[in-house]
Order: sequence, then structure tokens, then C-alpha cells
Amino acid sequence: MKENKDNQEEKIIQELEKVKTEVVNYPGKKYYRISVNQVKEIGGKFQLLGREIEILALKSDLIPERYHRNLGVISPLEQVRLLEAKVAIIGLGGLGGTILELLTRLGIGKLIIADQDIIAESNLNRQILSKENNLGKSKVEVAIKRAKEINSSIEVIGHAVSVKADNASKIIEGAEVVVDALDNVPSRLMLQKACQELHLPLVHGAIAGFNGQLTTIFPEDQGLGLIYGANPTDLPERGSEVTWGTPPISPALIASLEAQEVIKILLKRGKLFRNKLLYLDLEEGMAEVLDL
Amino acid sequence: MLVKVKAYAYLREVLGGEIKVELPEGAVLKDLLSSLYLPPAGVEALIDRASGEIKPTILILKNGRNVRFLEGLLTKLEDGDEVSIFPPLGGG
Repeated sequence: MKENKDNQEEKIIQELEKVKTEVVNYPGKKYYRISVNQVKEIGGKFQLLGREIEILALKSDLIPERYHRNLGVISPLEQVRLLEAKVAIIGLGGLGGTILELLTRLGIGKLIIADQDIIAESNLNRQILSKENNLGKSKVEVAIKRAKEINSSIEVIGHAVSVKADNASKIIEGAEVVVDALDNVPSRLMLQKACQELHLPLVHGAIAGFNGQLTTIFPEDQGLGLIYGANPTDLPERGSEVTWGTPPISPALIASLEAQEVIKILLKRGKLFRNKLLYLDLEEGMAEVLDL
Repeated sequence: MLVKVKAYAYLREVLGGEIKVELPEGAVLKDLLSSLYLPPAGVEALIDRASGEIKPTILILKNGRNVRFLEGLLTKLEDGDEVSIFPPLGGG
């Protein structure tokens, strides 16, 4: 079995070597590039997903051009790591749509997405998945289509359901990182509990008005309890976002920061906002990092 | 003793952003969160009038620690303490 696999990999690398193009990048460094179509063709020939072809290419110092601009800050082997990773995005609204967009372009190999909603007119101000011509469609369906249009190499597993205590673990199981892109406090607390049970890190982001907050929670951390209080059942389901609305800027910004936390966790690089709450007041131009 | 109070988001408007408050020695959070030291509209935004407790939608940290995990309104304050007050956010 292994021999067959090695043999196949060797053949794929030979194919890649045949079609590679030598390019000189802007600082004058030579590299060999593989195009999107070449990945698709070779993938089709060997009945493999694009990401598997891309992983083999990167391991052989051949650069899939779609990731070339990642490589100033992400090494080819780190790009392999991202292509091998599985990340769950729970919620596909203002936060989740942008997180999906970023992780898809970044080249996270497997994405789990979940949201039961359909696209509504009130989403158009901020949700990147929403368009006038897809109103009424399932967010998960629209999200899978968009992700595939951007990056056909990756896998997207969709759950068009409401994520609740009785199904959360099943949905996020197998993910290495879970991203909280929900829109209410009780669901976030439920998701944190499921992550703790499965020993998964959770990246939390939330917004209201021109404000946003971010923290990263590992299973042993107290996490959201430190923010929302010891007795979360006292809390109203909705917070200040009801009064202050959800304009487009804050979700896009917090979504970007959540995606950056995912990169840091997967690549074990940089400093996480762990046991820290980043609180942004964009109108005032204030960014505070509070130790929790 | 001098305590720094920092308010965020809409609470900035009613509490005045960042202010320094001179309190008597031995003061607790409840003393600070009164109209003696803060604008009445600010106190109104933080404290539930009926129960006298901190509203559930308000997060108060003393030097980064949620006061709900300390002694709530009876949390002791000391010179140089920083009290951060803000609404935790829930939207997405």
C-alpha cells in the first residue's frame, strides 16, 4: 500500500517537474511556479484533491503560485502545515464570512463551517457572503460555493444547522482550532464548553457598534467566564450590539484578527491573545489589551 | 488614594473616558461607583437600581481581574488601582 502511495507521489512530482515554470520574483530570487490549472489537471489525472498536489509541490520546492504571496511570512513547509490543517468556523455572519474568506485564501486545507441561517437583507451591510442575488439562500450553501470558487484545492464541510449543546462536539470533532463567529453569548459559552471537552483551542471574537473584542482560549483556561461573568445564565442573550448595531468595519477587523490567531496557533508562532482580552474602540482609536 | 477609571464604548460618553478619582483609604468598589465620584448618568448605566448590583451587561475589571471573581461591589481598592469598565460584546 505504502509502496503504491510512494510510487504515485513520485509520478505526481515527475508531472509537476515537467510543467513547472521558472520565475524571478521582484527581489530577484528565482523560484519554480505551478499554476492553479496545472494543479487541477494533475489532481484530476490522479483523482486527488488540489491540496494534496500542492502539498507535494511545496515539499519539492515548487511553489503553487496562488500561495506565492503568502511566502514572505509563511515558509513553504508552513504552507504545507496549513494545507494539512482542519479548522472549524462556527457562525457565518459578519465575522464568519470574512474568516472563511481569509482562511480559504490562506490555504487552510480543511474547513468545517456551520450556520443554520439563510441570507437576509439585513446582512447586506456587513456580511461578505451576502449579495442581492442570493437573498434567501442557505449561508452554508453560499459559503461552500464561494470558498470553492476562490480555492478549489481545499475541502469545505458544511453543516446547515443551529450549533447547540447536543451537536456541537460532533460538528467540531477533528478540527485543530475552532473559531467563534457566533452572534450571541449563550451559544458562545456552549461552544467553549464543547471545545474544552474535546481539548481544542477556541478563538473568540465579538463586536457591537464600532467596538470589537478578541481572545484566544485554550481548554484549561477560564476564557469566556472571565469576560461574561461567573453566572452566564444571568446574562441577556444579546448584548450592546442590539443598541449599537453591527456596522461593517468592526466585524471585518475582528474577523481578520481571529484569522491571525488561527495562523499563530497552527504554526506555533508569535504571541497569542491568550488570557488577554483585546478590546477595540474604533471610533476613539483605542486598543486596550486587558490581562484576564 | 488615587484610582484610575477607564470606560469604553458607549460608557465613555457617560463616565468620561479616562478619569482619576481620589478616594478615602479603605474604599471599596461600591464607594467608587456612586454619584459622589462618578457622573450620575454613569452610575445609572452601571448599577441596577432595583437590586443595587452591577448590571449583568457590564464588565468591571480591577487591574484586569473581573470583579465578579473578586468580591464584587465589596472589592477593596488600593492606591494606583486601575478600574476598567466596559460592556462585553456579543455580536457577530
